[in-house]
Amino acid sequence: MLYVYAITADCAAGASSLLPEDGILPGVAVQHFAAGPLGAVASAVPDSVFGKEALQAQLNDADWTRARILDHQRVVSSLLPVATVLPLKFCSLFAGEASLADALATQREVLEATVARLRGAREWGVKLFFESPTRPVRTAEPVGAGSGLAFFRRKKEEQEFRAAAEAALDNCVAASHRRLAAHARAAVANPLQPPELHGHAGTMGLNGAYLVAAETEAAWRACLLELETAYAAVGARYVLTGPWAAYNFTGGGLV
Amino acid sequence: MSELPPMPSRHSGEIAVADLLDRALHKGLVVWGEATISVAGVDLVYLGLKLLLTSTDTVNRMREAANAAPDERHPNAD
Repeated sequence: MLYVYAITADCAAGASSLLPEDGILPGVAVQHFAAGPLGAVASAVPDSVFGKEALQAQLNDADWTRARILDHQRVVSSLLPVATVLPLKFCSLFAGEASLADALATQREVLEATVARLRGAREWGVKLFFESPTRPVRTAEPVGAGSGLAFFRRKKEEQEFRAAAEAALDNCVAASHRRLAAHARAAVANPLQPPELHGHAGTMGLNGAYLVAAETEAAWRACLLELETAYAAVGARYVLTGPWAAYNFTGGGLV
Repeated sequence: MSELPPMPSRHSGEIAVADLLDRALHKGLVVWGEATISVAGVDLVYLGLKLLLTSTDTVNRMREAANAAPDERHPNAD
């Protein structure tokens, strides 16, 4: 049984010798399989671990799964400097070398089109957080004559403040994504992560991924710096991640 | 292939685990073939994912593991 990390193309000479020693399991070798202009990077794995029922049991072990996801990432990342990489979804398994070659042959057109789309570009992630509270600080309610009127006036002011603040944040999110996308070959705004996942202070406003061509990378990063300056006043903080294999732009994902 | 310089940004290098999960589990290429076993694998992954996401402790430990890279920088982190 083969665990396949990625489909590759444009492999640099000697790339095979740069493959990491350990694959998806400790002691499991990583191999490159050539298939015409395409190739696949995979490991032979035992059915006793990755067979359907065994795998289900293994995936219920969070520590084990965590280690495997990091192993998958480590192998995929090691390919980025030496090839055009189409990262496969975690736990993509094939019966053997023949079935992998068969799948590559059948899907060749789609895969080559994807290679052409990704060639010479890298995926970057940009997460946008808003640090400042969007609600004005509530002051003590006054008492006595006129307090009712003051209360309603303050209530109205608070509503206006909130609406203006939210509009400013919406504007910041939209402009940020639009401008970063303009310097990218492709862009996607992913669902926002809940606080327990993103682990940052503040509220997430944008969870973007950008496929940036090498020749426009400097301009794209300059754009990010401009955004940081332009929107610092609304409490925007940008977090850059990457470079990633182009997971968001392989186009074949199920979700 | 391309020999791009390491990123000079003051906040590059972060590998957030949530971002890795977003990608390796939710995205990525699915290559279908007659003998592809990943069909079953994909379903199984979501079971595993559910488990991962319901354990904040797990996520925190994953984050620590992933952030162990020496050049990791968080200039603006609180």
